[in-house]
Amino acid sequence: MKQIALSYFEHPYLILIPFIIFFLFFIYLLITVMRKSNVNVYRELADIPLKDEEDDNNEQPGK
Amino acid sequence: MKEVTAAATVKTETVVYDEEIVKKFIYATLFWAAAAFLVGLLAALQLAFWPANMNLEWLTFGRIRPLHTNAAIFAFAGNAIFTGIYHSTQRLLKTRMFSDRLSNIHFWGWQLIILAAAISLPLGYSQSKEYAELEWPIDIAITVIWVVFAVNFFGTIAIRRVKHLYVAIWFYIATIITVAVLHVINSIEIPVSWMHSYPVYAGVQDALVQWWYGHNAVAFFLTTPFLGLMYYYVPKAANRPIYSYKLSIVHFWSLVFIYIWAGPHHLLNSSLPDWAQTLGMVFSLMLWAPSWGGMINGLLTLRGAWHKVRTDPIIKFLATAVTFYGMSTFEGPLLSIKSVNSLAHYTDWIIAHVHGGTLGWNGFLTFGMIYYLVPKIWRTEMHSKKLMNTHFWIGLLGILLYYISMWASGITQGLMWRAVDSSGQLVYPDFVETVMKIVPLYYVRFVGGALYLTGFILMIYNIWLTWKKAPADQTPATLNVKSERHESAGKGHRKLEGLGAVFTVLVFIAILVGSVIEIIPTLSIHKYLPKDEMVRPYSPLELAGRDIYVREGCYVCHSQMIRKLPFDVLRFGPPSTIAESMYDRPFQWGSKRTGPDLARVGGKYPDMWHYRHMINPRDITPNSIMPSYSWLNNKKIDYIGLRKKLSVMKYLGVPYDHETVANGDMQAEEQADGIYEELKSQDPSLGNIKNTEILAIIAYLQSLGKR
Repeated sequence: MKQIALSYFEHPYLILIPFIIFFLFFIYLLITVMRKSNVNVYRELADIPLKDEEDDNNEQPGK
Repeated sequence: MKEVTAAATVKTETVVYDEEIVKKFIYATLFWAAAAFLVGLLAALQLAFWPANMNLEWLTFGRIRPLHTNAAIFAFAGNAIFTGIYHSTQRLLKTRMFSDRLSNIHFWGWQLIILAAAISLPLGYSQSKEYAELEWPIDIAITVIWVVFAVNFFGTIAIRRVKHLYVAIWFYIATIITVAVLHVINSIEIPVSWMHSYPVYAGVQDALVQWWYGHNAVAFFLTTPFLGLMYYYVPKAANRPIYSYKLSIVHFWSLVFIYIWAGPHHLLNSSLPDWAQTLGMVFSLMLWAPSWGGMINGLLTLRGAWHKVRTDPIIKFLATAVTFYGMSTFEGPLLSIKSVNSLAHYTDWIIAHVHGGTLGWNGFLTFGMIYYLVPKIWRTEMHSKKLMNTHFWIGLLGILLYYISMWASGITQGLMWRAVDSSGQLVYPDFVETVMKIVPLYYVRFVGGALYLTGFILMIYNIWLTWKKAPADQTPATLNVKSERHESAGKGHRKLEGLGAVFTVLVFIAILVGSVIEIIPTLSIHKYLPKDEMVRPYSPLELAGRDIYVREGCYVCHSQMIRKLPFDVLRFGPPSTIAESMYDRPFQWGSKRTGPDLARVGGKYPDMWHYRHMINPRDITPNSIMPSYSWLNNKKIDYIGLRKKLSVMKYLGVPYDHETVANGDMQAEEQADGIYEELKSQDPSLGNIKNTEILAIIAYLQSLGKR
């Protein structure tokens, strides 16, 4: 069965390489975003859609 | 906290946003939505009540269905995406679009492409590859206009006045890059004439490339851009920050990396090699996590503002849209499990799944966004909140009727197909029995669609009245902004979020990995086929008949893929093999069985059966819902074009000899005469059908499973 399943692809283990790369990148992402030092930065970034129309001159925002 | 505001030289500039382009895309979204919904309603009616095909070749279900899907995806959803992208990008990057001229070329070019599709598809110019039916000149136009859009978008990123790229922009980047890759690779074809071409891929290769494209068209045209819009408009409308920016980062990269692998789940239990099927299934299951991460992030953005779901119709639309996103992305992986797929595939369950996504997720998110944008852009208030609420409830009722009826239809038909009695025989051997059982549900679906359209008409009426009361002064919005472009901003991923070019390259690599690993091995698959398993190429007349089969869109109702499932084998014969479709350009495996599979229909019935069946299906099968194809009786076979078609096929590797290519027209005429003489001998009262297309399609159907 395994032979039939893999008969059209000689190197199925190659699939593991990108998967491992993704897994490592995923772990790196988790570590990065969970750093305590980033908490305030991400809180600020989450506000972007609420502040994107704020006028930097503290004037009334454009209509 | 990392410093994000320190800058050596900061100057203040006034940005004047281009709102005209946003207005244009809103008009286009509303116009094409009406067209897509109307055509969809007609198609739904045709399945419930076959005379709605009107015996007109331009309006048969086979031609209307691709028109509906293209209109819904590229015209309605496409223009909606552009509306949101042009509006939000300018604000998130605090700059006007890179070029007004490119914005306008993009707008008008896209509308012309849609117009070309709306004309060419009913005329039968189709490649028969789902969501990629448009012929090669239109494919080139799509590429050019997409590049224009990309230049304008990335140009805007280059001139932005903020360092950081907000998460919505990441999703737009992924959309632009991936759609370009998908479209170009899936559309590699050799022209035969001005409006006809053959793909360079054949059979299983074509199937894999097509469903890699088809699945990711859903992923990167109907999901990632709408997620970008969700990340912008849900916080805006709710006046709440997004729930978790951290989650959005993990959500984005996981989704972009994993989605691209899932295409083979459209080909489960088929003759696609098992390793590719398993890969598609496993990655589809993995998609559950990032998809729900996005949904949770969207819904929890409403924390502290849940009361608005009750009072604010915009929030109603947006929250329901995100909920439908969650339901669809739960159902998708479920349907990708091989055993579930064996029940659901080819049935209306898939239609239910698709429409939960498009009507609920894409449709409602678009409606919510437009209701948010219209008062802001036209500087007024919506005419009637009550009408907005009515639209919401009628639309939701419409979706539920649609969804539930198609679930019931799909599961009913799936169970009837597989029902076997104690002696091992099919309980419902007559395919039409399983169709008759679900026709009442097709009427329910039609009512659901009609309700959704009614809600939309209320929206048009409401917006029309809103426009009428808009102030005459429509000065564009402006904003004073400080340039912060030369700041340093964080390390690691934080830094990456400010590097547009590097970010784009990483997205490109992320989507390329899965694509290369799945597609490259399959491209050489035919080399591994044993010589004795190979089939003969189609005869010239069979090839002509095949092109007619493609033109009429027969694939939208008939599959040509007998799965490796006992009940499929009992009903239709031995499982289809890779070799049997190795010369099929384009492949015709299909994705829906409104009618029976045709992979082994050759030789099953006499030519006269096929003749009478094509002219009036009810003469043969009293309860059939198939349209009549009486015009095939009058149209003449294009013998002249055959030599060119055969030479292109030979160029693509089909082993035609020189004699066949040089005299293909004469060989075809000879074969057609043989079929004609036989039909005439059985029924002397037949009119003069010599050299008509019906002879070619009979030759093609009789060759299926017999070569």
